[in-house]
Amino acid sequence: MLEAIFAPRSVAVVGASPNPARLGHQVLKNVITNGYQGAVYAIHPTATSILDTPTYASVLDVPESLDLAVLVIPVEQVLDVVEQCGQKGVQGLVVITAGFKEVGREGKQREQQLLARVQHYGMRMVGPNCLGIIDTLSKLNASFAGLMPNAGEMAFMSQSGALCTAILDWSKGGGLGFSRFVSLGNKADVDEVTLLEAWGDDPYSKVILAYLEGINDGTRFMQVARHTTRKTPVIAIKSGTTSAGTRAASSHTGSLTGSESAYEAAFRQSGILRAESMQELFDLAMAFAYQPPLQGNKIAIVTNAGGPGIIATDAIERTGILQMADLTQDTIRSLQAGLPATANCFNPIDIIGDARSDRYRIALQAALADPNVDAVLVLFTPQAASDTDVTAQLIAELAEASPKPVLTSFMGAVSLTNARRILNDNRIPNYHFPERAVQALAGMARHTHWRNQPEPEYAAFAVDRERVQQLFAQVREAGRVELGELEAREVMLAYGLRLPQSELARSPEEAVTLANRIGYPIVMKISSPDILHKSDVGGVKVGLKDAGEVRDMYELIEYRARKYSPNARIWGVLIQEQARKGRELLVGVNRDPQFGALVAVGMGGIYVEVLKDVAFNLAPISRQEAAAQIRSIRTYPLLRGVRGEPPADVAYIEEVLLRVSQLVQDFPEIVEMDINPLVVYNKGEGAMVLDARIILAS
Amino acid sequence: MPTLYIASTETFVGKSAVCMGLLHRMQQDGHTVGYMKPLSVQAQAGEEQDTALIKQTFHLPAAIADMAPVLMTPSMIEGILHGNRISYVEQVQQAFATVASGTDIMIVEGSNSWAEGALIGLSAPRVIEMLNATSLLVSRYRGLHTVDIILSVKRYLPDQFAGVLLNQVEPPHVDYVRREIVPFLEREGIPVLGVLPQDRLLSSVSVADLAEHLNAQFIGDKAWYSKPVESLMIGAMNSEAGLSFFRRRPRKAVITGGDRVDLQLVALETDTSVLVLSGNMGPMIKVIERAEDRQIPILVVAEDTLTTVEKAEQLFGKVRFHQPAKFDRFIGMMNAGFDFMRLYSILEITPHP
Repeated sequence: MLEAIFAPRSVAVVGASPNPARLGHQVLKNVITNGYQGAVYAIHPTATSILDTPTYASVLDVPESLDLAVLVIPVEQVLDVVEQCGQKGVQGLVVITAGFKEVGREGKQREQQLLARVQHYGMRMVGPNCLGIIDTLSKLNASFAGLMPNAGEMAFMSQSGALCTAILDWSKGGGLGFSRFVSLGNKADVDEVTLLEAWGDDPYSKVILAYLEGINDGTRFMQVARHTTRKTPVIAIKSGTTSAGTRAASSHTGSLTGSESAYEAAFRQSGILRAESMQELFDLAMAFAYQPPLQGNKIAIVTNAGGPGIIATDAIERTGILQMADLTQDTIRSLQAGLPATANCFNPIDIIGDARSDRYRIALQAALADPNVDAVLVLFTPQAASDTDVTAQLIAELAEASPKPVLTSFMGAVSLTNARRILNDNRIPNYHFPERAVQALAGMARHTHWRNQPEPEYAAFAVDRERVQQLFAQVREAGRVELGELEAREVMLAYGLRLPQSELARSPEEAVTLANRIGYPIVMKISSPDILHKSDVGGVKVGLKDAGEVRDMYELIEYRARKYSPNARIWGVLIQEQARKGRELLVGVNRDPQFGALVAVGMGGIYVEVLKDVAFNLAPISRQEAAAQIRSIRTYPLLRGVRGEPPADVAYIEEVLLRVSQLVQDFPEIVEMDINPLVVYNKGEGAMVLDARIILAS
Repeated sequence: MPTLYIASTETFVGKSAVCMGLLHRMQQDGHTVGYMKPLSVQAQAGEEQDTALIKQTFHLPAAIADMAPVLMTPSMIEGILHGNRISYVEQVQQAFATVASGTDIMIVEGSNSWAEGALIGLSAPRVIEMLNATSLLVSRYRGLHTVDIILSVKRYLPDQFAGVLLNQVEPPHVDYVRREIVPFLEREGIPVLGVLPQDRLLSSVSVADLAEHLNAQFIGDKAWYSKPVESLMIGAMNSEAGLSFFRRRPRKAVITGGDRVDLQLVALETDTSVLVLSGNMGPMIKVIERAEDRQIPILVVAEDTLTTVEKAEQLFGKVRFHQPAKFDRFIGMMNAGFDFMRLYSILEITPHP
């Protein structure tokens, strides 16, 4: 669908200049000197020929048809030129020119006008304010980058133009190759979603890489990414996620960034692999680009040194997804037969420091043939006896013949230059240290795990949606954003959650009447919209046993609240049925500006702020996601029960998550919600919401 | 001619507002109403602000100097300490005669507390007696103890006690007050003429108030000066926590450092009436543009965040009643929650056709 941009039959460089110091000159030079086979035209108001390229005053003067126009012109001329391109029938635009959204209001309006014109003519546009695009298949370099990258199978998009040039430069040195390379710029038309959609079906791109600072449409991004990642691995690096990073990003872009937890959930729920560093991004990309897909998670290690073998084993265990393969009896026997007695024939297979390529052959062949092994990591340290280059060549041959991935870590530098080149030329991903190779294998395993997951299933409960609509209307009518406790209770009930009985008393006598009706023991809680931490002001009391205690406690609670928060509005004291003890969880919702409702679950109680043991998912949450979510908190074993404790009702916690997900999907005006605590009982006994807060968008 | 003295036991219970509500309705009902505030406590000499506003709003013919004849300033008190004896009682009586002539009802706005003005013979009981007025107590409902205060006030008063207006009742208490408090007071012989709920708009300050009080530089459209600010929030957390925090309150002022671009943007995404930037650092252009899109004014102040918060807090709860939006809102509330007919019958007047 983006043929006109990546594989055009003809290209016009508008703003091509005879002056080598100008950007327009550089762009034209890039288009004509990198092997592009289509027709190229330069557009310049007066020149007749630039760099021996046919030159016209306007795209309208070009006698042949035009697929792509690259614009490197002053910003004031862009709209007119795009209009001419539309009339000419140009289908693709790459607008390098800056001076749009990034410069403020006027630029933003200009960008809207630009987009309107592009859409009017049904064109597609990369940019504005970008470095350009490169396609190594059509050998088109429509950018002002100084270099043409090697051909390869990685498709790369970046929101930072400067980062693009740095990566091109670096990849040339490391021998990495790209299929397509796009600087997204302001993403007015073609954005990360467009490219994810287009590249998912691209037979020439085995892996998609993205550097993102923000995402235009979080929901659409996830929809498309879910689909694409089932076919092609996508690795993304997202900057500006730490607190300091967010501040830097806000100052840099002047826009609000989504939260770290939301990005984490969005990437995980749509199967995108998250790289924490540029190094990890390319470590992982290389494995996907060079090797066949990993089918499982069992890894065998072949090494000529004990230490690195142990380091790699530790790294594999630490990933949480990879496992050391248990070699079969046949494999162990064949290793014992072929290797010296001092060798270790269990995994990691240590072929000893004096090993030459013949021992690598025996070990690697046996490991690849073992049905319990899904991938092999070959470690090599240069020793006196080593035949380094021959070993590299051998590994390449054996790997080529196997459907299983083989990654290497040739550790060292000066003596390995040639071996590294051999490995890279033969598409064996090689890493300076074993941990990085393990990271790459872990990424492959995560991708495989994702692809093998069944299609998500979503629940739909019977709920009383109208009641919640009424309640919210009532809150808006009163000019409030926060629901009162009683209103929040009703919302919970309408969505099928269970709560203890609770009513508001406004005098000691009323408290006693209500307590008598509900039945003892009773819980009492101050009711005030201004007191958030009720127990901190002595506003909560449990276990009240009779009318006398309730009457006295009413007075005490109200007195304390007035004393500690003299300006707080006091509505009275809630009289509640005392719920049975159970395990306390919290369920929270925070609506992220980019990705929507982020639902959290974790251990509740007073240590929640310290433990921060919370797992997130973006709504809508599927049944599988809810199950994984509750199981991913660190304290999950407590829910399974320790030391003879019966297990908690985990299935019901999942149901609560699904009901909350349905609620926040039904009502996008819910921006914050807290169920804390959710008291969970033993398996089969459900759970109860003891306190709920809901805040609406105003 | 009936004279109604509006009494209170504390400041900022909404006395001036109640006076305006009464003036408005009584004028509508065809009465010629006069207004007077015998004693005004001021920091310095000068025109009494509330009186000026009332004169202008209700087109009252009397001179401000007569409507607010006595300004109790620190230098006046000092004069008394030094033996300066002027009869303020006489001054008030003369002024009252002037203002009242030609009216058929007089509304007299009382002092801030029961005893205020005792030094110069103008405490509430003295003025009520002097003007032969009927008193209406405006009381802020602060829970059950309010009942005690109302009863004690009644004991001090001569017979001419019209009753009480319970003002600023928290909405969840309204039905309890009606069910339990009102019948009790009525049994005690205290007519309850109205129960008015607490209203967020009425207790708000305007952006203009805040800008003036903070001596701030204003960025934005002057039309946004009148936006109501209902509460203050301080921005000093990370931006992720900021979003949850700022969502909790509508129509607020967010006070944050001029360098906290992330929090400024977060605050602009939520219901914010004004962004106050401390440390004398103006906003970056993209923040200004976002604020314009959202129609949110920005104030830039020289002080640090904490000093700014302390200054701004002084403004809340002490706001004078002088915005058209507030006036309309309160008139509506009075009409809905105050029993004018009962007041008229206590004062023995009837609405003119």
